[in-house]
Amino acid sequence: MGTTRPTAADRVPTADAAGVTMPLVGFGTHPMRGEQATEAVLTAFSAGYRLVDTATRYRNETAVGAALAATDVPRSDLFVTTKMPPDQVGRERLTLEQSLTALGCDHIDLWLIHWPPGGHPGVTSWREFVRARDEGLVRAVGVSNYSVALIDALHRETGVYPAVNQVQWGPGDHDPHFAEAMRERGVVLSAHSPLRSTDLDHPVLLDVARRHGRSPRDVVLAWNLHHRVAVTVKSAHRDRMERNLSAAGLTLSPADVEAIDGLSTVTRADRRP
Amino acid sequence: MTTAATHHAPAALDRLRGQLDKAGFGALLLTSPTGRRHALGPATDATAVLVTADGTVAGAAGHPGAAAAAALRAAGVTDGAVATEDELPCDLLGQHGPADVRLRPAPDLVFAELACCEPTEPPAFAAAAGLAAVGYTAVMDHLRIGMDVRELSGNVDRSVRRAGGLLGWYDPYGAGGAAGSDLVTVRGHDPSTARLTEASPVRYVLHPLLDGTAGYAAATAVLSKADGTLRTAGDVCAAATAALLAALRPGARLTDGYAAFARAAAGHAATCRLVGLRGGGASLPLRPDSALVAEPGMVLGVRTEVLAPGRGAVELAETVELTAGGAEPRAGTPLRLVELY
Repeated sequence: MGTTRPTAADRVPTADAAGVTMPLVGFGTHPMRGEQATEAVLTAFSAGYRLVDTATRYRNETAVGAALAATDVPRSDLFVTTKMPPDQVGRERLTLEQSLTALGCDHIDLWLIHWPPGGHPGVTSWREFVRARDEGLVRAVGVSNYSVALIDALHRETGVYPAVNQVQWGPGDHDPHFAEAMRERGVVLSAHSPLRSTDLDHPVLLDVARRHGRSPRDVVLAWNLHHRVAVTVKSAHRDRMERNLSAAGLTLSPADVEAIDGLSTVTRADRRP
Repeated sequence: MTTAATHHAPAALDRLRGQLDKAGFGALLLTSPTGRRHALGPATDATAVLVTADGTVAGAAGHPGAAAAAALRAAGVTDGAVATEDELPCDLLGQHGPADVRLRPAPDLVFAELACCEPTEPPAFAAAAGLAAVGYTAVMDHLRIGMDVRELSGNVDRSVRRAGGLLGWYDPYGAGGAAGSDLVTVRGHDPSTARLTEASPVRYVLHPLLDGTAGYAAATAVLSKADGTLRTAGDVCAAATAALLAALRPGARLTDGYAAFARAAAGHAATCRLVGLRGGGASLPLRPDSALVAEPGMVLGVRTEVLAPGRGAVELAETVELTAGGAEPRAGTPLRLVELY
């Protein structure tokens, strides 16, 4: 009996997003559009990514859909995330149908409210999201850029917590209280722009990177995975895609993690309510 | 003091020269900020610019009348019909102007020049409109009750820089000369606190210049479920704007768009205007009596507004390209009242 070597995709850790298995490393598509987006997603699939992250706002769902149609990776092995912008309140089903059409899918794996509409929880939309999930059009529903208070408001009104909350998250944004609040509620914390708030030249990151023979960028991604935070990374270049994906194989020591946690610039006053 | 300078018209003005010749004008006098910038570029300080059918361009600074007279003299125009953008005072040129020059308003000629694009230009407009859409998102996604509106400019600035760098911004009303620095014009906040409220609709206009090409978008959002008055205004504005765009079909008169808007908004206090964006600004709305016909290749700014009595107004804007199939929105922002709740 032969054995099969694990592929890059196999090495990506996963999370339980309200009963749906979600890869913790995903390929972000913003701001790519058109053929560039299609080619990049196809390259990402071939490099081992299985989660692709898009949004109505990105105006690239059709291009992502072209990649989904062209790849030989089975749809069942892929995880497609898209997001409804806040200006679509009251038009949720229409927006979902447009996303499904553009992506060429009969379902979406994860559908997020992209921003709290007007700073409100968006209960009306959330009810529609849950309905779409119950009807099988989406497998999991979540939010993006939500505070704990807004998430609790959704739960209070509907009894359903989001499966995922995607926020800007990196060492500079690290807030253990917020992360713990997500864990307590069974919400997978997902990082968009994991490098945006991070000084990649910080001596702590440079030191950890040097000791592991990796780049500070790899270290930041590995740090997120250590905390079980999903990361969405983007690059149009295959070598960069592969390097990002390889961060899943980098194990940081507790001391490394503690040092990187200490890079947080979040003060008590800054904490997400 | 008035000084004048002349040079040969750049190739970009060849079409305008042809139109002048075809219409029987020896020259065109440009006095609006948009017209002057279109002829001489954004850095000009000329207050009057003359473009002649034979290819001379003369610009002069100073008092508009004296500058116009100087530009005419510099270009050697001593008699004949000279087109103007709009009705100008008959004594504009004063005693120093050429006695035999007759100023004749020819707004359609100028509008056509500012609306009709060369084949290479629509992609640039689409890119500029895309930038306006980035600004739209930077505002819409962050709106919340109690927000200080001054945060919005910062959001737009950050998003636009990420999308393509620091760009120019023009005055959306066309009255303030060249490019300005306001990233987004916001109305609807509480003027005593600069903060957004639940009840007042937030109206905002994006007006970027991308490499000198103007984009155009405006939106209105309310941070609650709209009540009857506001909902009605939103529905009317959306329907009337859709009617306007549907009327902008090749072969139809552009003013058919105005008529369609008026029909759809009948009974409401409503306004709309079409502007030519090619001049880098929006100061020259299509006149209601224009005879211009829509044709593929035109790029227009469309702006509509319906008052909501006691509640402000709903205001929308788009950059549209006229194609063989009709008006194609390029910013792609919602042409309806957005309700955020």
